[in-house]
Amino acid sequence: MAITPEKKFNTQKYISVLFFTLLIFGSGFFLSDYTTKKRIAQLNDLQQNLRTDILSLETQFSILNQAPCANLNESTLTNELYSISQKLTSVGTTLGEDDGNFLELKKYYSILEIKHWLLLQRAAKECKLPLAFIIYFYEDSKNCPQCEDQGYILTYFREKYPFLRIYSFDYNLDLAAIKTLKSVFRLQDETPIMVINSDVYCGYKSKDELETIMEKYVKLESLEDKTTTSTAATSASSKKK
Amino acid sequence: MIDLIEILTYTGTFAALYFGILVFITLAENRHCLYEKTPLLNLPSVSIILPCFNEENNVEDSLISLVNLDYPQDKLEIIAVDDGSHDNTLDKMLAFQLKNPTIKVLHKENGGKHTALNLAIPQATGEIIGTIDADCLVEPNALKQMLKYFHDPKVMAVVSTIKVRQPRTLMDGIQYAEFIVSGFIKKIISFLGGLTVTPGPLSLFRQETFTIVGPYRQAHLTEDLEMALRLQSQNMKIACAWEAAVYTKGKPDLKSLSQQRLRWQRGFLLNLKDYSPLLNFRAHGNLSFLLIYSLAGIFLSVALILLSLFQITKGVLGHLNQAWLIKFDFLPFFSFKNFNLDWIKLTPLAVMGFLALALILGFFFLGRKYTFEKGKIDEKIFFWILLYPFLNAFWWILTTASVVSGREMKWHGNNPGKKI
Repeated sequence: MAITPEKKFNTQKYISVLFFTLLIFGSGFFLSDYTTKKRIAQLNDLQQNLRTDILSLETQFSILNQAPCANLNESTLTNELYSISQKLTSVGTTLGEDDGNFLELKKYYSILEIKHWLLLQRAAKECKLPLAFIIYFYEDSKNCPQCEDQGYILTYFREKYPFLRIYSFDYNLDLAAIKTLKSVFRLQDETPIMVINSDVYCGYKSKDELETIMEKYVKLESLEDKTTTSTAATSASSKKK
Repeated sequence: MIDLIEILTYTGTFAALYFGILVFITLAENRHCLYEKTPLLNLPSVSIILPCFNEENNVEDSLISLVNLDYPQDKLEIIAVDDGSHDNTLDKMLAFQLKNPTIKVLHKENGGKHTALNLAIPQATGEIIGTIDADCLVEPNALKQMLKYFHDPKVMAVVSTIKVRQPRTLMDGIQYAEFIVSGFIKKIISFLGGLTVTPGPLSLFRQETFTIVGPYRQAHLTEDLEMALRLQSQNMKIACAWEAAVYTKGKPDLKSLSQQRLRWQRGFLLNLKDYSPLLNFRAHGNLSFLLIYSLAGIFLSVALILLSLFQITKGVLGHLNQAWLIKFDFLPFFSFKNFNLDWIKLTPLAVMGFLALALILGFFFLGRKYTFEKGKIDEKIFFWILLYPFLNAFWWILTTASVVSGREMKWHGNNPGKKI
């Protein structure tokens, strides 16, 4: 029997199907690319906001010649920083950790982190804020298999102790400010590294180990308990002014 | 590994999208002939064969649904064949025959479903011969709806739309949705001359079909699939009737469902091997394209699911490790400030995932619309989307292993009417 008309291959039809498939597929890529670009733009805006806020606070320091404690709303600055960090992670996942754009954003973020740290250190001292600081250096999983675990433990600490400020830096990021930090603290190439009150701790520290170390510098329990009151107090005082 | 997943996902989504658009374009092209509108002026005589093995719980319901068909009694011949059942199937048939003397009851030694059908076919007097499984119930108007398609003299067989009764269990839900989608696709594929099964639940044939192509064969326990391939190899036309519904019982558990699917998929591969000339593009056009496409699709879906499983396992282990690191103290992570929508990343992969999901849901809802399915949509149905891809890949892996090892399968208790 001859081939039935239904079975006859209509090349034109299959080519139009291919055309529509390419169109929809391409639109999918375009949409994805568009949202990635939008995300990067958002990240740029956020970084710009934080930069302005930090500059504004630094200027207030200079004008008053002391820390403007009454006006200080450090939780806003910190939330801005964390928000950038989250967006940066998301961009890193989308673009890839080695992407040139991502590395540039990461460098800028690292500088903002250092400025934030310097500013808050001064504010904590002068305004007697119950803040504690950890500077954390990590590498990629190839060079530092335990860095991911250490990072997760530090995230847990940050969530548990809201007045603990953690600044994380890529140990190998080609940035003069990071190199300076490394030389100031005389760091050896043994990540993960944590710097707490100028003391350097090399190697992985478990949750319990880190809690014991932290207890040397600050009463963790009191950090945890005072957190909400302190945030509210600073926010309230800023509103009054 | 991630790169491989991306490549496979893009290829898989592209292939699925291509198929989806082919389906939608074919649907649009044939929008005026989705249902057979030619009135049935001359009712042909019809013989319906019901092969049974150990079907004492189903045979009566099935026979009732057959005698309740909207068709003149003098033109409808029902032949129930007991294939050497060990239970009371024969007694039930004979008891039913007492109340409905027009029904013919045949009995033979057990030999398999194809032998039961082949015993009845030569004795069938109808111009049209139908086969039905013992666990199926036919809608009263189904027969007339299917017969309309024979007004085209080239149509040698007509297949019905198989549905699973309203789901009560998770397994029912999975099968319900699956049958709705496959019912939708089958019709579209029939427009491309690509049907590869004349399903046991209810198919009709012109009487001369068997004279031309011969009787049923054992065919790796998928005689309905082999018959369709045989018709296709002779370029005989098979039509599909969306408007004719037959209800089958869903498999009650994962084991029996897996056994059934293993049998079907194994039958598909082995019968396709036996009918490999069907892959000849010049001789079979659309059909060969669809067959090659499904073979490639099987490979892609299995590879993708395996890689996804690898990723999921890796993720779960990673989370377990994290839980261990913080001594399962998750409390600090549950705060409102942690809630944000940043986790929704519109990566190309995510976009492709949404596209594939939209396609699958589109098939499901169109399937419901065109097959007049009125059953309630409940949450069980959506487990189909979650679980089916994994189950299907698992079955194909088992099927491939079974085909490669050359291990023979058996009917459950050599049961011809009861599908395993």
